Amino acid sequence: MRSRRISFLRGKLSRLSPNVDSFLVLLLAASLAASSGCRQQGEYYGKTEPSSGNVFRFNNGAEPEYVDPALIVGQLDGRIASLLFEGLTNTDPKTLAQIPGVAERWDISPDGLNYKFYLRTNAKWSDGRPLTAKDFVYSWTRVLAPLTVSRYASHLYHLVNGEEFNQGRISDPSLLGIRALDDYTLEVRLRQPTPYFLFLTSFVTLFPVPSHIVEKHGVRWTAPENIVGNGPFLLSEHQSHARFEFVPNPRYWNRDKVRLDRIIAYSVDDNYTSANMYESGMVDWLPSYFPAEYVPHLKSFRDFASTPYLANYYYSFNVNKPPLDNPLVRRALSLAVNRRAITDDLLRGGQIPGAHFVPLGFPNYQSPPAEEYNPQEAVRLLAEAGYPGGQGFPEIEILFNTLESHKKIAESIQQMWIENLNIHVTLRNEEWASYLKSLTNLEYQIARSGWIGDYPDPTTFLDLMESTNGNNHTGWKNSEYDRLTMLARQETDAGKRMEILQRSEAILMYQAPVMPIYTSASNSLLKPYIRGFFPNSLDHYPLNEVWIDQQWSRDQPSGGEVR
Amino acid sequence: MTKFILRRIVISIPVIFLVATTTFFILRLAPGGPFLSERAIPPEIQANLQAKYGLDQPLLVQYGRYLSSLLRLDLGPSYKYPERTVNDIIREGFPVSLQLGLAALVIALLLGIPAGVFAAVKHRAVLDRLTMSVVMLGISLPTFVVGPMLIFVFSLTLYWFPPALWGEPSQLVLPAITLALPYSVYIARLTRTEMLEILDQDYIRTARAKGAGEFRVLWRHALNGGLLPVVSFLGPAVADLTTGSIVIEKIFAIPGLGRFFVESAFSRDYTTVMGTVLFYSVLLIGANLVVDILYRVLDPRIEYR
Repeated sequence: MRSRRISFLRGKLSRLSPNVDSFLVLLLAASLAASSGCRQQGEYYGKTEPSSGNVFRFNNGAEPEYVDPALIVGQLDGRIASLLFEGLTNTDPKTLAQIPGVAERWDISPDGLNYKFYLRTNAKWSDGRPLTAKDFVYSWTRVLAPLTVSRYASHLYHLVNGEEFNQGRISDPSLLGIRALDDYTLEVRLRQPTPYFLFLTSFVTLFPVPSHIVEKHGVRWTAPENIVGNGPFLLSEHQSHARFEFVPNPRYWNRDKVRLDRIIAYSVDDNYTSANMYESGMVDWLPSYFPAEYVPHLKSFRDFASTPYLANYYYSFNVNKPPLDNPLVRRALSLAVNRRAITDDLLRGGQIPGAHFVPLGFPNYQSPPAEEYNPQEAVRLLAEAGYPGGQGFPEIEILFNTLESHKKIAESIQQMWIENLNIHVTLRNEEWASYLKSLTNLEYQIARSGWIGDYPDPTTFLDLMESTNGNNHTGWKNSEYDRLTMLARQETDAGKRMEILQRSEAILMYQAPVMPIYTSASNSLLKPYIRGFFPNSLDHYPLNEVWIDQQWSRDQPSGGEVR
Repeated sequence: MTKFILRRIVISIPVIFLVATTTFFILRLAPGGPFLSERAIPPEIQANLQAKYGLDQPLLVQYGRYLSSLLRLDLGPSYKYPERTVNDIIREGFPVSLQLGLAALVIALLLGIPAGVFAAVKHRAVLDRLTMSVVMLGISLPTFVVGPMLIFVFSLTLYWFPPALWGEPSQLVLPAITLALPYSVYIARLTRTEMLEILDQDYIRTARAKGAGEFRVLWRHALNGGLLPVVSFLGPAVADLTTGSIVIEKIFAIPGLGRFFVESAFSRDYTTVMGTVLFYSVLLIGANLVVDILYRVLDPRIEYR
């Protein structure tokens, strides 16, 4: 009997092996290929009948870790919180400009350090309590309070004494640069001009939270039976690892603009399942949650869209270890990578190749020109560094976290370096937690990296490479770069500031502690009967004004005015 | 009987303690921790985070604290989903996995036992070979192949059943069949082997000689004994089926318990790993106890000791 039980348990273990995913890939790719033959090109992917009632259903990709805005780090958590709460400002999905939210209007002092927000008097909490400036003082202080342990507290380091208070060097919250002048006037003082501060006021971390509910229920305040918000929707149901349901908030100041009767956000974390749900008409929108290898096939459907996204994919060099301590070597490696082959032939997911660190799509910023692929120059640089024809060059290793697409890219770069530079390259993959540890401890030579911008300003990327930045995992320190970054923070003239930032990016590219590969693309599927959606590089899709066109017919253009 | 049950329960306490201890220390050997993130967190915040969950304490202190809260049946907060506790996660996930698992169990038994009996009766005949070939196919095809195949045919082509999600009876069908298939196949093989042996035995011949009908011989006399191996297989099978399968839960987007066994280990969600492992152990011990009691019912010759 015993042996039967053991072999049975072993069966269970083998079912959990990581090969499962790649097996699924093969199988589903095969079934997809088989089924695509009978579909017409230029048509829509799957069913296109709207659900009855004004219900908008989408897959949010996974179970959010937090609903509490102060604690959120993940993008999908943010999608839930943005339905329930609203900040002082909102980001217009069409123009990415800042438009009024809870604040009706605001004044900024000429030196860019003082903000006065005038709150609308008809903004209320969903339980009827008025929403006042004191709520913002409470919420922002709460984010900064050390015991809240908000991982995005640094977004409020821009406030006078914000950093000091968060790190426990001062403990009096009245010293913070935020004050309620009266119930509807909020004064904010910054430690340096921050051109993107109005964007931060529309970001989840800075959303107001209801003090009376938070203090009453503690960590349980976000449960559906307790939660009170100020956003366009209310949480009516939450089934863990399955779905969130929302209904319009009758007390939202802009209730008249809200056209949906219900929203369902599923927490389905398997991309194949997610694609099946879209195909069979169970969801109306998939923000990126379908297998990357479907993209080449999906491109021919009219409900597929791909937009550049403020995120980059790059390799970090550990500049402390030879031979990568030599900038010539790093530039040689970078010039020997054919980025277009990676994006267009290998990934085929709409990514845009580029050797610039700041991704495409930032309003008012242009990266300095960067040569992408020049194998001859790469060979010359390597020779100049003392390795003619790759001779004497030690073996180097690429580290990546275990994922099929990272592996494909690493293999392809390995091949390019071997062919173009005649050097030895090995690969090492580690599962997520181990990889993060290796990266932070600089226990690597070359590591796959990526970054998603937090706000529409190039500094969300350029600040990463400052020598003191906790996310600079390269060991690279450059005093001129640090000086320019600091200079940009003081500069109030927008044009001059962008020039300074361009100069710092040029240094970064010449020194090459990082090897940028591409700007990411945000791929999505949206049913043609959905209206009020606007593609943008921030992947920011407020659902306030979305509606469902029940009269939609196949002959109309897809998505009406928006696509 | 009561004494037997009590004794078994007392014996299982050190077993559970051992499982808890081993899991606790093995987990801490894995690199990284629950609060690692791709984005750097200022060291002050990281320290506060560790302190909030007592992870800054010496390992033995943490271990002692864990055991003492375990005595109060408090499995602690999930590190990955801090707005919920591990008790919440099990309370929400287990009923789903239980429903799915029981449905699968019924299907597995309804398919497996008749198939096994049938094959034994038609031993060596074409029908036996045919049944066993289908069974072999069932063994060879893993759930992650069967699941997507069923979805492709019944959801995306015929539109009979929804391809995913949980809550309506129609959403139970495909995952329950997928989950049941390998178990039914195993049950069929166990039943067939045992039945072949039993059908040769004297008491069956006696029953036949006394003029009992073939149906009665098979389903009353032979099957009682023939089910013993199936019953002992059911112990771990029930524990296994009802704690969920990550593959099925992922393919069909079912909010069960299975995913936590694997995902919590990857995210170093210590408390959730501990909680689910312990829950599974208790379930396994309980299921085996029930099996041992059932043995006695099926075969009175077995004594409790």
